[in-house]
Amino acid sequence: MYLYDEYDKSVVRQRIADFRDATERRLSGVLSEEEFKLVRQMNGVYLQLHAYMLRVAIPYGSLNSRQLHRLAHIARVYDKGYGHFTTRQNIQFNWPQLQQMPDILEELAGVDMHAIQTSGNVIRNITADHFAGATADEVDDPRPIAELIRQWSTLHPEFSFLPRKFKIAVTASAKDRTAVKFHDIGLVLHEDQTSGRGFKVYVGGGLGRTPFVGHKIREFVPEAQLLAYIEAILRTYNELGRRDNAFKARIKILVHEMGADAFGELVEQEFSRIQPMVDDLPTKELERIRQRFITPDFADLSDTDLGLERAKAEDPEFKRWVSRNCSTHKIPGYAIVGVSLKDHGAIPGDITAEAMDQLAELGKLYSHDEIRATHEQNLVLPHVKKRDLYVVWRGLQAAGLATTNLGQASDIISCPGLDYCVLANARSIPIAQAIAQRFADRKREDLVGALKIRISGCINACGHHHAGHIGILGVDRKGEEMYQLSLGGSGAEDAAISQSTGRGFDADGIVDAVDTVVGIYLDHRHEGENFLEAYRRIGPQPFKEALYGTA
Amino acid sequence: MELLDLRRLSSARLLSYSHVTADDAVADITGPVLIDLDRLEGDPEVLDDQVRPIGLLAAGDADSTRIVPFLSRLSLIAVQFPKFSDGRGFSLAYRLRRDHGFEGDIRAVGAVLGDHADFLLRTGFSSVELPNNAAVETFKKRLDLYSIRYQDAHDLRPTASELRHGQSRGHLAS
Ligand code: SF4
Repeated sequence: MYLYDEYDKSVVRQRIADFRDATERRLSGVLSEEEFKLVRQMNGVYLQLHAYMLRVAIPYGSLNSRQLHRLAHIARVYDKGYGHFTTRQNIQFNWPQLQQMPDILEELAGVDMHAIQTSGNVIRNITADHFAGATADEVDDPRPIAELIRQWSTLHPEFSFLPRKFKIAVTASAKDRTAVKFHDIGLVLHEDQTSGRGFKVYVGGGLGRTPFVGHKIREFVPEAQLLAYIEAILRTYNELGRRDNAFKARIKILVHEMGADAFGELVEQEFSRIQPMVDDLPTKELERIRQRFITPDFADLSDTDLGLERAKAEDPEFKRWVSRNCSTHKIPGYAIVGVSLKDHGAIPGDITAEAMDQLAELGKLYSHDEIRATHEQNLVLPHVKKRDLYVVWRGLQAAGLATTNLGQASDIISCPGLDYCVLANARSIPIAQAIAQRFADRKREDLVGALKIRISGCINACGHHHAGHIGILGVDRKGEEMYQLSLGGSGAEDAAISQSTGRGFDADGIVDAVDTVVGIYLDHRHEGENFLEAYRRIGPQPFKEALYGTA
Repeated sequence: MELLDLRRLSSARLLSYSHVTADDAVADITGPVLIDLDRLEGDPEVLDDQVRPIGLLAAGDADSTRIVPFLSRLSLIAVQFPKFSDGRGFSLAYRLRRDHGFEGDIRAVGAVLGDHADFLLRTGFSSVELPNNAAVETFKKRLDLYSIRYQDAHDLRPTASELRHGQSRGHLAS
């Protein structure tokens, strides 16, 4: 966890004072909704279907127990007792009153949190690998870099009125857990013998109505020059990105229309102008940030824990949870614990205040005071001793957080859809719930194995349906809610955009269609082959035939 | 229209320019004139024999290299914001200062709001044209709102990292 210093605290406090003033002027009618919009957006306040909504930033998905307790407190006092984790490692509160927003922001500031730039045409919350600092497969912890970018992008004088929102993800692992190639800028830290440490840079990836996989425009940017390189990208985009049509304003359209090579060339030109001015301050800053990150004091343990082995042998339920929800930690004797927010039939990403408090306690006692939010709307206890896994599992059970389905069919990403969102064509949450119920039979869920189902309530694709092995898109057909099915997407290192199967289905039909598609996979799969691999081998035809018959 | 010097927080030393439209004869106008970029490109002789201050009116999306040929003759570049959400003008001002070393007045005109105040100053704007006195007051207030900034810019005040490391870069601002 990064600890704020007095400067970080001042930035947040001054922002709140500004927002409080604007809110009061809005409430007294001095400011119109239109005039207020700019200020509220900069502070993460949205106008939803039923009410204002507050989106709180969780930079690179990292929380400590105090922060999670505070989020629970906000859920309890200012909302209806729960919060909603999003696909950008943020949390949303759907029911606070506008007049309470400044107070909520004060509560957040008290634990070094804010809602700055979680809305509007600005650089949004920086996301990073949720296993950062815990996984063995990373070059280094990417979070200090993400924090450096967070500070640089906060209230940036030149880049706060961009053509459209701008999302940056950072990972330091070849195994991508951040959907790095579906970001406006995706950064992959890597290291090689000759050049040392630096970043691969992808630009122009994104989902939404025109999905693109990001293009690599640089194999290597030295760590010390990263901010300068990002500045070059942002300046090029700010000047040339389309402003005539909001649907064409993302950087992905600019990169697509001019070609990634030509875009990369412009960035290089601009970078060559900035580069001579780069001094040693960013490097010193990065060093300072690294020092202000609390690195856990790991114990010296044997990698095998006999108590754990015994518990697994005695309790098959526990064993199943360990094999589904726990991942390998870089330190012997530790594990990374995944916490599913996708209980069968629940609303994906929702969590009650009580569960937040209980999880915060577990994080404090058993995970070096760290909790993470994932972009798949789940949570993580990143540093748990293997010998504590059983107690932690018990604790999670008591909190209703021990659902054993991570990475499986019922671990669905879904956008809020018509139940909350003004732009929606169709409901998405009930579809997610119905599909999860269909896989509530665990034998079947285990048989199917790894499967990523993603649901969006409209073409804006907040549910990332293009990146799903199975993607579902809500459409409106003459006032009726319909759903299109697409297959073969991936948000991982082998990023791909799912392809539509054809004609859509109604709400019941889409659940059956998912079932049918899974059945075809089971019929065709080779030993050890997951859904995506099988789909890539056999192609869409067998699935289409099963769905629509052989015409 | 009211003018505000972003650095001195007054209008005392600012010049007012008369806008010359496409077919006005410059000679008919007295005092400082503001000429559109298109007109200047099409009719560069208007600058000949002029001893008075000349300003250029540029759209926020104007390519700064178009302005370069005239820079030495200009005492003002007025950057037009077509909509308050259109942030191209910030990059234009930044480029005029950094890439082209322009030291004259860069003035924000058009759809400028108090929310822009601090950002304008930091990207290299030196003055702003506002609709009325109330807007001037808002601007002054908002220029003082944020004492800490993370980014290096055309800024009179040090950044957070300079303060943290006790190091001054020597600012880009003139
Ligand atoms: S995908 Fe559409 S319906 Fe779903 S949250 Fe986004 S805008 Fe709303």
